[in-house]
Amino acid sequence: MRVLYTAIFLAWIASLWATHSWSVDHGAQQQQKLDQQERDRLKQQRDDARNERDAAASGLSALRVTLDAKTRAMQAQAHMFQAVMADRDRLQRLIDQRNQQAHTDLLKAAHEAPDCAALARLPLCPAVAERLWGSAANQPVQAARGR
Amino acid sequence: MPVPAYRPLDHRLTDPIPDPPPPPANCTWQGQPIVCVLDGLAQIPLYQGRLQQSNADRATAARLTEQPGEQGK
Repeated sequence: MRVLYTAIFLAWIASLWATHSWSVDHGAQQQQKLDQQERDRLKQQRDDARNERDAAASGLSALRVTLDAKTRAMQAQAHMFQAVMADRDRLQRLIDQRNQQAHTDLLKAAHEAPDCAALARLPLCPAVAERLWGSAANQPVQAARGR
Repeated sequence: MPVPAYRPLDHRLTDPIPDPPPPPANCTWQGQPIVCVLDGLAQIPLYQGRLQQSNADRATAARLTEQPGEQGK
């Protein structure tokens, strides 16, 4: 009987020890599984962040290219505008000079041509002069010459 | 629908062009100074010049405001 009880006791101790070992292994495996899941989750987060960073960088790069192109276009337009206005100013001066010269040449030709001598002293009637140039046209600029 | 963006024109293209100065009163009529016919006629080239300057500015304004699809209009 004593042997039997001892055997039963030893069997119980062995079962306790086997159960403990199994639970320790199982717990370790569970912990490893959880750790692996956490690592995978963090790795996924890191990859997502990298992808977002790369997408933002390429977006910024494309935006910079677009803005540079727009800046160059605006500078070219400003340069063209300045060139056109410089041409305009030159043309205006040329037109003014040419027509002032035509005015002077006309007066010179009229005063030198014998056919126009009668017109040299011919006055405009006041009604017409007043309507064309107002009272400023009748100022005695040359009246002292007695023409 | 694209909306055209209007660029303001330079003031040199929109400022009024002044009249030529009036001719001098070199003749007399009943003792009063008055403009001579010749001087009045000699104003014509000056007014022609103002018209040419105005037309040149209109052409410049058209050139500066043309859109890319309208070149050569």
